[in-house]
Amino acid sequence: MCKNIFRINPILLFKRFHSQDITFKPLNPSLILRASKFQEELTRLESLMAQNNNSGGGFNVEQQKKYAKLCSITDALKEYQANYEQFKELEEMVKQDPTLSEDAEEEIKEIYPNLEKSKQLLFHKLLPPHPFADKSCLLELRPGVGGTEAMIFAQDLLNMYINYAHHKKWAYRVVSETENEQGNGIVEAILAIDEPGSYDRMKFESGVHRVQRIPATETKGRTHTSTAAVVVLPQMGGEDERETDAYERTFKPEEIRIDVMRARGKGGQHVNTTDSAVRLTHYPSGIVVSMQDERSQHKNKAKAFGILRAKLAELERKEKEEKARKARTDQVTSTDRSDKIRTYNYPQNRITDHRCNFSILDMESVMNGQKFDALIDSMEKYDNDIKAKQLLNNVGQN
Amino acid sequence: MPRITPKTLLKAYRINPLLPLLLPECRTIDQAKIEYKWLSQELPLKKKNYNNIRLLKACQLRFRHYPLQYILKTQPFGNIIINCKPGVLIPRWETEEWCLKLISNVKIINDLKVLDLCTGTGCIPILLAHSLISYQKNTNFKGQLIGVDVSPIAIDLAKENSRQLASNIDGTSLSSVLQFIQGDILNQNNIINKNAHFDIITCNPPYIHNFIRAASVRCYEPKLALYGNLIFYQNLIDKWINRTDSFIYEVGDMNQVQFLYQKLKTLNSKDTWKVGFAKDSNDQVRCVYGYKSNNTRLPMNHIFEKFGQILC
Repeated sequence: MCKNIFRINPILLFKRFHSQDITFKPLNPSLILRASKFQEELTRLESLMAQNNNSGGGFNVEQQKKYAKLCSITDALKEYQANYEQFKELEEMVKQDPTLSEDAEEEIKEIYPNLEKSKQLLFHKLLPPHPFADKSCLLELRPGVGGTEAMIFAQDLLNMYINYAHHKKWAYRVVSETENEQGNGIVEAILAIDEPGSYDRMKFESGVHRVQRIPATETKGRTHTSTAAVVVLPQMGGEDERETDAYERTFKPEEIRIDVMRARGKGGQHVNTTDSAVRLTHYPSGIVVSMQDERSQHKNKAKAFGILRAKLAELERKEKEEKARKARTDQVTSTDRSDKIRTYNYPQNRITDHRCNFSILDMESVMNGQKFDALIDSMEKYDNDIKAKQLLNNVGQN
Repeated sequence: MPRITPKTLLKAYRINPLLPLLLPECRTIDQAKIEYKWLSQELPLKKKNYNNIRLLKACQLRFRHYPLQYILKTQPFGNIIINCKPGVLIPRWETEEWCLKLISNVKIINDLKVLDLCTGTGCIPILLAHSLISYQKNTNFKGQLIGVDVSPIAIDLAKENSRQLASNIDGTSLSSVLQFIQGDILNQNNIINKNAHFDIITCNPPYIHNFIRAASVRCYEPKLALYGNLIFYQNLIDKWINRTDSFIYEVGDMNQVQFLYQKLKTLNSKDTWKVGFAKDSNDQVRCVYGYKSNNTRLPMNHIFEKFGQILC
């Protein structure tokens, strides 16, 4: 008898399951409430803007931005509600009128993907946006464990990001680069990508990248594992003269120390030094930034302040995130854990992102920037899902 | 200064065969690498084919302590680039530093009158002009900046530099604002119009009165712009003190500050002068400044606030 049970064709079982039970989990009512609050705000803003226009108030950029954002949320809400209504009607039909149930079920199947899509869209619109989403970014690369091989790998990573920027037609510049002694790798490099919004794409690169391959320096053909660390920072404001000057003035003199690396001696007309290195020490945070690439000390200082500013902004954001996480009772996995985030396995021609468990089997296309988008896309999706979970939990608690 | 060991030279040679040539001047491999990068990036190119030879020649000059700024023919000064050539003192970062400090306090004044003595490349008035004009875009800068130097080579270079500045700033008649005059302030009396009165006199006079150790300075920079002790500070007291509201002079040591301070204290004048000195980032006494505490057109108290330490 037992055998008979297992003789049922599993495919049939599967089919039956699918054809009858398309169940849909509607969006949490409190989320809908939240969305409709945005809708109310939109109507308020609309009337305000109409008033402004009548009185000749002119074009307000902030207002326009907010308007666009609210519009997109309400549009998503409307679409979701329409789809959901339709879905509910059809479900009723299935229950009440058995004669029509077959047709109705067919239709449900048709609209189901749309409904699911609009639900996801609304969900993601409701997620809080990243504070630096519209900023351009700085990528700081340093080799980790693995000696020269790690330095070579850091260089490879830098090339990968440059290739990606090329591929995306983003403007970039290498702010500073220190080669190692052999000249085949880097000890430290900072790459600036001057594209607004690039921070949003690159932010998942922060963390430790691991490489597994037979290094060029290896003579016995053994595979080594080395790492390189990447830090992604938002570029806060440009390198505009007046802006950096104003920023420099926001620090109290006792907070910051500017060192110029000069040899001891009388200085002035006595010597003619070309060393223009500048080192900034920010005491409250302990951040030290050195810059020596430019011949002009003034420019080195401006660059160093730019990097300090980016580092402080990132630090502040992390602190805020940490606070928010502590406020929550549950332990949520985070996207910026400091352990390894990605493995580049050359023998297997494979890159795996450990956070979202995504693998891609095309090392070359990723390293030359063409398929790098795939990695970021999967990570973005994963991050959105996690944020959605958090949002749901929050709403549930409230 | 420790000698460069053959080991270091060999190490540098393995990185790049030209690096050992840069080591005597740069002292460390890291600095030599940076300098090599600047040389290969900024060397003024003439013909495409001879670049390697030109680079080698440049490194050989560097080996003989020839100043990098004379090879590249430029030196960044604040946010502008000053042309340099042999026979004129290369602008120093210390000068740049106090100049920028001064600019941050005077950039809002749109009728500033500055006289720069011993101007050399003209770096101080040119940086002032650039900063003031670009800061006061909407209210046209109407001040007057004058540079004076005894050397005709220096005046030619300063004029060349101001022409370069004029091409960067369009739509402003720079010639009415900035001018350079050749003249010997120690011996001639009628270089500047007798009735002209200035807000600030700046000067980077030759102030070295002992042996110069650095070969690149000793052998290649003009002695006229380097050697001197108190003569220019005495000249300030004798000729210029009644024609200005304030002054900033670069100095080499504290004695020169004290000299000027004592002279001003015993000066028979109806004005009382406040005198102070400022240190550079390298913690060396770098400039002496002074201003009248009353009867001035501009708020000198405010301009020289936090500039340095007032002597009393």
